[in-house]
Amino acid sequence: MRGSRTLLQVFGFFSASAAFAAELDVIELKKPEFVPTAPSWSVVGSLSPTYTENALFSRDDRRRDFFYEPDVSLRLDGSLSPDLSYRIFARTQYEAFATEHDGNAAIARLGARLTQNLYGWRFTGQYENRYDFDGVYRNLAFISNDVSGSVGRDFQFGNVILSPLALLTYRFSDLAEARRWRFDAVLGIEVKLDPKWSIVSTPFIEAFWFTDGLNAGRQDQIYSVSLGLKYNIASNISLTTNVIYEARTSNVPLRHYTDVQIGPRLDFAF
Amino acid sequence: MKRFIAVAGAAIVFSCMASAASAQRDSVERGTRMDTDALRDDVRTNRLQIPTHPLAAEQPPQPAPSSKGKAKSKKGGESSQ
Repeated sequence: MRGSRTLLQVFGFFSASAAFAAELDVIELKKPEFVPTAPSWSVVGSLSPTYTENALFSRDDRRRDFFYEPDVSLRLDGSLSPDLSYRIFARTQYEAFATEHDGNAAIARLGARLTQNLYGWRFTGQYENRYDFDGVYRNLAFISNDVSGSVGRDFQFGNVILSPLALLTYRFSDLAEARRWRFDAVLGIEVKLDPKWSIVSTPFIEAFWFTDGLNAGRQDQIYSVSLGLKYNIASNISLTTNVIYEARTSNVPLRHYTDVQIGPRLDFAF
Repeated sequence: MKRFIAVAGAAIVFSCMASAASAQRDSVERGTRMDTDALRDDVRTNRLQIPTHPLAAEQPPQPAPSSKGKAKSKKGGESSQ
C-alpha cells in the first residue's frame, strides 16, 4: 500500500512536469515574432540663455557674461530586434556670448549608435564625426572622430528616478591637441513633486587624458553638480531652471578653474 | 641692424605660432565644455516623451484571404506569420 502511494506520487510528479512542459511549449509557440517597424524621425533639443561667472574658463581672468546656447538634433531611430535599436543623428550646438565674443563656438555632429538592452541596462556603442568651429560656424578649428561606449539605466523608487550613466570616449582628430580619452560618470536625479513639477540634480565627474601634441600628458578632472526646478509644460516639453557649479583640476595648474552657471533651459522633442 | 631685424622677425614668427597654438587649444577647451553641456542636455531630454514620425506609412492590415475552406485557410495563415 505504502509502495503504491509512493508510485502514485512519482507518477503524479512526472505528469505535472509533462503538463508544465506542454504549457511552456504552447507559450513558446504563441510568442509573437519580432516585426521590424519603419524607422521614425524626431527633432530633439534644448535652448537656454545662461549667466556664467567665468566665460573663458580661465583660472585668473574671470569674466562674467550671458550666453545663448541652442542644441538641436535630428534623429532617425529604429529597431533591429526587440532589444537592439539604432540611431542615426545630426546635431548642431553653439554658444554665443553677449560680450565675450572670443568664447563663441559651435559644433556640428553626424553620428550613429547601436543600443543593446540587457538585464535592464542599456549598452551603447557610438561613432560621431564632428566639426568644431571658432565663432558661430565662422572658422573650422578641427575635425574629430569620436568612438565611445556607454552603459546606463533608469531606477525608480517611488517618486524618485535615478539615471546613472558611465561613458568612455576616445577622440581621433586632425588636431593633435584634441586627441584624448574621456571618461564620464553622471547621475541624473529627479524627484517628482507632482505630475508637473520636479526637483532635478545632476552630479557629474569627467576625467580627461590628453595623448598628443602640446597637450600630451595633460590630465584634467571636472567635478560638477547642478540643482534645478523642472516644470513639465507637456509630455514632450519642459522648462528647467538650473544652478550649476563646476570645478576643474589638472596636472597643468594653468587649467584649473571654477564656474557657476545660472539659467533656464527649455527642452523639447517633436 | 641686420641682427636686430633677424631677431625681431624670429620673435614675430614665434609669437604668431604661439598665438595660433593657443587659439587651437582654446577651441579644444570650448569644445570640451560644450560636450559637457550636451551630455547634461541628453540627461534631461531622455526624460521627455519623444514623438515618433515613421518614415514609411504604416501598412494597412491585410484583408482576410477568401475562404476556400475555413480550417485550411486558418492553418495557412498561422504558418505564414
